[in-house]
Amino acid sequence: MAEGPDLGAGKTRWDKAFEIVDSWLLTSFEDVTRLSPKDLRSYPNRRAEAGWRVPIEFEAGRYVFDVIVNPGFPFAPARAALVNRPKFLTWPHVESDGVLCLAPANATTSAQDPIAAVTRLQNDAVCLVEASAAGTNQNDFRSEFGSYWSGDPEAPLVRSILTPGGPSRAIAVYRLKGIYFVGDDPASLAGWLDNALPAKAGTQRTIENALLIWRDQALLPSEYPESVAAVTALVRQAGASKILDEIAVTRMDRIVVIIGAASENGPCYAGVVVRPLARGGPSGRGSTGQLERGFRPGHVPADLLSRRFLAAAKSAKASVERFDATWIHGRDVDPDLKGLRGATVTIVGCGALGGPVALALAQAGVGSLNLIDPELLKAANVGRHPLGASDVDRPKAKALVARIRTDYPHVLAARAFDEHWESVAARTPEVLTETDLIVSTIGGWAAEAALNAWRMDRGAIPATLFGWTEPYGVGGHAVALVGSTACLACGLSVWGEPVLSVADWPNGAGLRGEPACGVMFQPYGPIEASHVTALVAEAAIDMLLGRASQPFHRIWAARKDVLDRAGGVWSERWTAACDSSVPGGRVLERPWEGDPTCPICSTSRK
Amino acid sequence: MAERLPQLLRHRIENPVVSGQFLDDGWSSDERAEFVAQAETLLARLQDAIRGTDSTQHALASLVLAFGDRVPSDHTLIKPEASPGVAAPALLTSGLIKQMGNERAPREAVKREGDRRYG
Repeated sequence: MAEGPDLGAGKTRWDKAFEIVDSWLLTSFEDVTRLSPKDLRSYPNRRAEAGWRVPIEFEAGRYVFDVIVNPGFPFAPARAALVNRPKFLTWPHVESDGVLCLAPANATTSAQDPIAAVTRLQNDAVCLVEASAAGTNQNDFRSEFGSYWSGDPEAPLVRSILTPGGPSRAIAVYRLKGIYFVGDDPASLAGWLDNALPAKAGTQRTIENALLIWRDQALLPSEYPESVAAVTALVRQAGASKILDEIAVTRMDRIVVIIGAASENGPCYAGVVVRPLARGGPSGRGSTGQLERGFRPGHVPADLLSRRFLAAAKSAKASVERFDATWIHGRDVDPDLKGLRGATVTIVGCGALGGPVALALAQAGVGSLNLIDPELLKAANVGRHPLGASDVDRPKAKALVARIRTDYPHVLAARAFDEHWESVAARTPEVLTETDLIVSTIGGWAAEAALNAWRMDRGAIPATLFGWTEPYGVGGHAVALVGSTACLACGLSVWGEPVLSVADWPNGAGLRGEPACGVMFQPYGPIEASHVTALVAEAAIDMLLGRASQPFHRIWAARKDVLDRAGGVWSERWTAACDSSVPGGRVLERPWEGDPTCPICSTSRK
Repeated sequence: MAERLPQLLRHRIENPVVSGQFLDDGWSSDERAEFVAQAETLLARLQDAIRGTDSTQHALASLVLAFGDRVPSDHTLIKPEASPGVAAPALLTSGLIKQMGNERAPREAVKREGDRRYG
């Protein structure tokens, strides 16, 4: 039998599974043989440890399959490869080494019955060969276009921030060595680049014209353009020859053509780069003599110049990777993205709660963010703040905005205000008034009371979400204020303490002091805080998407052992609010009731 | 016994001690179908071990599949009584593969939708 891989304790299991399949295949069926080490080496990227060559008779003739197993067998499924196969890209689901893609990448196999699993594999392989030979699965080349189109080695990788979809149109391209970026127009591409690849002030980027042709269907492999003539034919079919001519006469160097198409799995892209046959040759930049022959310089008709350039050019296929917002946020299928992309959120307080909430909202696809915080990041913050040591002594808001722009360069706007919110309200009030949602994560009464009063004085707009954490992170709160029926002060004491807290602290709430005058902190960590971050961020999303028509209060309560370790007890009000249900490890949602005697909103409403 | 088991499980099973009572009270039709299928699988594996091969290793593998890891792993303990009854290796055809692939065990060996766990 074959020598199994070195799996330690797992080796016995591999050996046993191999032996079962080996014995079954070799004794049950004619002409089945074990694969030799040389045979196994023909699958260098498959970690093939052992395998069998299995001939199968079809009506149309004999097909020979290799069944190979890797060190993960029998938990990792065996793979089948077709040995006597047609040229690569003739049949779908047959990779260049002959291995068949028979199941989705997330498919799982039972290790209990390896014979059944191999039988299933062979069955699927037979069905694939029959469908391929009959030509009934050619459309799979279109629906899984991205698996089949591959860039030529000399071509750059193209990153696309194009708005998915047609029509065929002029687009913009920015070229770096080995990587190109394409966008809808120079302005949007420049904005994306400024975020993703911040340049020194005064640096000029050269953004050029390029072409997108849009097709109703993705290309079949037989339609992949292998020459400039094939590219121009595709351009002509798409009715975009005029755009190509315009680009050709101005570029005469390197033309980027993106081929986009709708598929049943969403939009897909391929790229082609057309360039002169030889750098500095007759069609090279700065040497246009041959292109202009017979005409005075600068007087060659554009279409003729284009034809001459394209006739003396070569093409290379390029892979295109999507970086647009609809792909990044949910791979085209997030129904919330449209609403979030058009939304503006202003976050007041970018500390251990506001910082991760800001990043979570950016990651969820919120298009525009204003971050307000007057403080610098300190080393003591790093342990529970998404910013790290490299940002110490930088303003939190500014550093977070830089992070958001770099990580999500398609963000429509991200602005930092390294000052108190009152200053922002005084100097640039639109930051607070022309926003869809204010998220206050200050977690301190003085500033939040004023913000709450400011909002109520303005007629209870915009919608505002207050979020905070209880001592030791054992509880978290998200108070969503929508409309004018309640304000933050309705549920707090005159000192800003919540009327309803999760925990009481018989021995004190554990506020600690740094060895510095008046600097106090709560000793909770990032793990406890992560629950509250999720609570607040989810509430913000619900408000932005119109899922909240009345003020609500969501409360996160940690598990009881977290509370116990911190020295807390469930508060009486919390226990009563939970009725007979479990008080810990849960989220409770209840209305945020207005208080008719509230000194803030009862006055404002009058 | 293994040959009779699938048929026995297809019908109501009377309690041999208490007249008028049944041992399969509470079985749903899905559960009964599952038990019958498992009995058929057991029978197929036993037949494969006893009559389907002249390889003691293969017979042992089939017995392990039928009864689990507690079957002694020494295939020399199996003594072939006669070999003429052993089936000759079959010609593998696409039709045979599809026939085998359509049985319950191969159909259930792979979950195309995966384990629904994501990291």
